[in-house]
Amino acid sequence: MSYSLGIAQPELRLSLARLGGWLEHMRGPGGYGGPISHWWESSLLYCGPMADWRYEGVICGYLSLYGATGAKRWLARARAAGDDLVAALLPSGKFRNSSFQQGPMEGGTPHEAAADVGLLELARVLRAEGDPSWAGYFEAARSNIRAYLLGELWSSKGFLDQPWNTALVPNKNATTIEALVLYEELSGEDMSPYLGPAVGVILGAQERSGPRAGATIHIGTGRHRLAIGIYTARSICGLLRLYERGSQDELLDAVHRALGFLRGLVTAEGVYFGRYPDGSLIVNPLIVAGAGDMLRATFWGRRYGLAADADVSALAAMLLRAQQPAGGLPFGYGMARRGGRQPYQGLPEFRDVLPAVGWCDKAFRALALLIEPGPDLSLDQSFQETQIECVWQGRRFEYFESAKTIALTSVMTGRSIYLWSKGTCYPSIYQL
Amino acid sequence: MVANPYSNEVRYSLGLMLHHLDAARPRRVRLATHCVEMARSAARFLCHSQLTLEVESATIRDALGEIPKVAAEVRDPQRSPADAALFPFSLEEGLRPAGEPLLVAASYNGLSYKRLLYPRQRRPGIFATMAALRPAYCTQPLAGLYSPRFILGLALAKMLEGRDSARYFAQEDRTMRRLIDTGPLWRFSYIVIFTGHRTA
Repeated sequence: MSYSLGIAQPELRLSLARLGGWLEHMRGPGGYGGPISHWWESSLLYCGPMADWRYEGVICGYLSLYGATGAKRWLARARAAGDDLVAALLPSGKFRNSSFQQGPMEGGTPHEAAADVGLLELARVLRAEGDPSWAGYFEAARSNIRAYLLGELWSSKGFLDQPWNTALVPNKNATTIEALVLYEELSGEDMSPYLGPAVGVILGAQERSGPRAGATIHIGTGRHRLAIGIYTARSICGLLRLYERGSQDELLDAVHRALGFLRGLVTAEGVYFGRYPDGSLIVNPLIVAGAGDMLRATFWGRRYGLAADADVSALAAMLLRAQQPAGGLPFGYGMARRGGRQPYQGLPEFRDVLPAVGWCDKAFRALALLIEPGPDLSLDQSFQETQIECVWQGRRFEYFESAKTIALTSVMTGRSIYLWSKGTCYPSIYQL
Repeated sequence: MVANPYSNEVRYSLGLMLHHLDAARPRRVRLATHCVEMARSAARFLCHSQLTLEVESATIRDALGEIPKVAAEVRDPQRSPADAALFPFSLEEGLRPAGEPLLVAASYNGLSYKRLLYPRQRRPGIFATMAALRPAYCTQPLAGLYSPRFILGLALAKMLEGRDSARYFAQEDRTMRRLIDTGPLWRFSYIVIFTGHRTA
């Protein structure tokens, strides 16, 4: 059996095939849909397709599978996802319905920049193969970058949270850095005037000492000044993307500190959400699917000797263990006691077990980086249903996912209080 | 007061309204509002449904024309009514149904806690708003948003915010899970979502 970084390659390949299969089951007219759980708020009513950061992970994950196996099917899936984004581009240059947990609105951050990353990564691969269709994906990203990122979000100090909100959020600037570095590579236009201030936002928000040393503080959390693991991880990726554009040791130093912060959040069941200003852990929720971004940051940092094999394998093993029979990964564990410092014990909550494309894409993208070149993945599997006992508002329910539906049904009465058919925009039953 | 289409209260209201509209599977829907931004906001929730929107003006039609896959035309009063009508905070602007078999409305409620905050603001209570549609329509409340129970929970969260972040986040989440109230407190909620079925 082939092992790399302590991860069994057959197990990894099987997991990726199932995750890819699950993603396609979540695909309907217009793109990938489904209910969304999130720390800030959840979108459980509107379940239609959205052009948000899910496309970053979906496209990049498929491109990694294509790179490792050479199988054209993965490139076709990446291209189909890119076509969704091109179709979602509005005359304003923004993407339709890009605001993830906030529901169907354009202008989501960092979602539009993340969608650009997906488009530009796809364009880069196609251009390298001499495929002229790369230009369409590149042009869509360019429209968004020019009209929205540079046209509306840019201030002389960095990229704003929204045109009407002057907060400079580090991880959002990091995603924008990733998009701009890719854009610079493909267009030849110098993005230095924007990259300098944007990286300044990240470095300026990084804690240098104390129990949160290395974390980037989420400025958008106001007086709470939360240090959040997944957002620190996304900040790391922006720094590393910029480092690879032109070596600056200062960036690697910041990444080294940030990875130290992340290491303190990892457990065998998930990653702690973050830390409060006094250094105490935000234990609930444990983040699972979204920890894919921590795996990506750690794996990338390992390239420069900033993370160990054991750091990578611990995160990868956690994600592989958490995969549900249907192929998706849960949002996390502990949303019933959101923000708590003490570990939540008991059945998971509905929002915990819910697999959302916009989180599972992160696990998919990161795990796809770990497979070794070889033959194509085996896809001859039937869909396995997921059944999990969980709670909602203190009552016991059964979460059920089939190839066609996601449902929440009372254990006591057998009555469903939530039923969403895949491919539709709204649940047919919503009594949460 | 004109509703801000980007506010949380409008987002949540539109989500609930469009969920109920979607269940009726209409082919033609009248989007009853004079506000371009409100029309845009509502149309985003409809984006992938196969339906035609009837709107109140050419300005709104042109604005919606920028959204791919959204078909909009200016409402013709001479034509037979649409299958359904959406009234996103527009009954209080004076817009009225034109015989559509189904209406889904969101309205501010003068009987809510906001009356205490703004005692001089004149706004009809939800019972008066619904009564104005009778006898042509049989109205039925679906839910209230920002009920007294919600507001008490939110006030408690705000009290905790400066003292203990962990308790604040837990309380805020507990409160948000009760944003939509389908119990009797809908009567005193800040926003009420209701349907109307044409009686004859």
